[in-house]
Amino acid sequence: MSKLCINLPPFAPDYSGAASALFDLGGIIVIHDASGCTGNYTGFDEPRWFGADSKVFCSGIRYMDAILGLDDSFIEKIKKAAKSLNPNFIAVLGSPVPMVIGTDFEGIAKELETITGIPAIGIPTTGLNYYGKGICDATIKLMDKFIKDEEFIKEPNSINILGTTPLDFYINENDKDFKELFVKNGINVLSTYYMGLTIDDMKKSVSASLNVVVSQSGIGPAEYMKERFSIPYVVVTPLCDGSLAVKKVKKALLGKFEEYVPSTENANTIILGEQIISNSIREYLNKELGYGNIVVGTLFDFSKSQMAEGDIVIKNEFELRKILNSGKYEKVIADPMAKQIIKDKNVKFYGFPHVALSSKVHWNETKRLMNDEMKDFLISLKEG
Amino acid sequence: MKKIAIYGKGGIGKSTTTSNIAAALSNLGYKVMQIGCDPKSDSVKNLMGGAKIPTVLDKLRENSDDVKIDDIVFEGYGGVLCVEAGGPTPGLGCAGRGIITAFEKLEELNAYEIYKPDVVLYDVLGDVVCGGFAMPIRQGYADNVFIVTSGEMMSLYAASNIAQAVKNFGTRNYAKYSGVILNSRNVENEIEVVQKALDEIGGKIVNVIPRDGLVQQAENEGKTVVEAFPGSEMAENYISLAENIMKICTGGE
Repeated sequence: MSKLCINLPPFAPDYSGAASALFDLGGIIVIHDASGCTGNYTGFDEPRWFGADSKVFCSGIRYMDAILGLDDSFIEKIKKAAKSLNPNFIAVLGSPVPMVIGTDFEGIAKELETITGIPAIGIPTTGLNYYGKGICDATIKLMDKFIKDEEFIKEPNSINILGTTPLDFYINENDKDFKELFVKNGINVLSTYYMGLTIDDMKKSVSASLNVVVSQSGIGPAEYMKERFSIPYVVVTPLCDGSLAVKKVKKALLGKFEEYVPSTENANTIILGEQIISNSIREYLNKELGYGNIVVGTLFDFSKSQMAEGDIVIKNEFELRKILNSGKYEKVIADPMAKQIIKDKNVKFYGFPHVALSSKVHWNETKRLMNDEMKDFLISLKEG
Repeated sequence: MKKIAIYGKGGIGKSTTTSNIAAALSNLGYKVMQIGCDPKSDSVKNLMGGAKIPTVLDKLRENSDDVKIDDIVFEGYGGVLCVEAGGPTPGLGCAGRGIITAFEKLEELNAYEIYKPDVVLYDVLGDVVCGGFAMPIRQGYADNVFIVTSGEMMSLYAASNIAQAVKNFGTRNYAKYSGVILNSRNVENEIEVVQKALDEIGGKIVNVIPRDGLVQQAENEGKTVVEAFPGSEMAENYISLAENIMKICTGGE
């Protein structure tokens, strides 16, 4: 029961991450579930769902489908939908019930592809992992499916932005701000994974000289692209005027990769949130505002390579409660829903919404990261 | 790397046959990994001197976050790499899902890349009863499926079901059914009976393994016949079987 959430809502799971990654690509996305998981994704984890025409479906798996392993009826339903919708691809995603009965998503995808002639991918999401893994798995499946091994001509001074989904950045133009920043600074942006991405963009993206990872969900795809297409990557989320990110990216384009090692000793401030955004906030506070000794804690997927000594992986609400009430931290930057966990009224709390955590309760308050308001927010944290 | 799944009715002698194939292949110079896919976890004991090894699920039960590759892969006779998938608490849980979890763990730990076996043998419980027990014949796992059977009706019935399950996956380009191993039970006209069944099921008899007391004697010592009685006619039978299997799997026959 240590994973019981008393104050926090359920965290965005892997199928939401995978569906979010695929959302703009013009495919049929089918979540194999009884409807609760699809409802969770469309109702709580996907701000673009309201008013969009993306083709997200639920298989509506029932008791006997699970017991009898009725893959055929599942395939038949998708076949009918594909016939009338003519999608760019078909993606079948898992949820807890198919996980328990061992549904063979890759096999189902292969059958669908044979029957319909439409490219199909199977992603065995389980609902037991976090959204970052779903985004990463979906990216790798897509690249395996759509990018063939051939010689690619590298385009100098060009980048891809990896890791933008509404689960981390909402739909308040953060993705566009990132792109505009780099273009304004003379850097060619070939693609933004995933907001606004097309299959053609994805194919072009393998010519990039560098990948810029703006959230943890981009690390796995960046590693994959490094191995398969020899594209190096740099990890940074642009903030405020974006100058730190531009500097880092320009250096990396010249082959210079610098490691930033923050001091976390005697930290009295903790940033709780998405790992890379949190790291970037820490770096900005350190370098631009001279405010240091900050630890980063994350409840979601994390990359060991991006952790500073003293950073914390928080496994559940129980651990979060202990950390926030340990008396160590005078200032806390976190999703507004974490505020109710803090008992000490003297702790200064700075709300920084994370869609993957608080969903529609706070997503309208999600910060636009590259504007003066964000800068003011960080200054207020330093001075508060 | 050749990946081969051995299926067959419970009690027909799959583990005995598979272990002897593994021992014979190792004598022929192959690096072999044998993975027991049965909650009873007794597939590799004759390669391990009669000792039971900790299973993948045992280790996951102890500490799911910190299982290392050498906690679950053990070297047995002739350097055969032995793994038991294991199962849930008897009477509880889900054995099929257990097999999937064990396979996922082996992959996560890069078992195949680390040990680089020439041949992987999956010794699979009784019948393809659910998605979990079909795991060895799914994409990325076995390339060829052999079924151990005798001339007894129930054994042939199971063989037919297994062959059908493999064929059901035909549209997914998975493992192919590559024939039966006749493990004799001294049924009258046994070869003819099995041959007649194969006329309906499809496939050929790869080898006939005669019934021989040496098998039991070797098992009493916790060994395979290949190890306990090298040079015996029975050991030669298993070596011939191993050679034929490799011929089929490499397209030589």
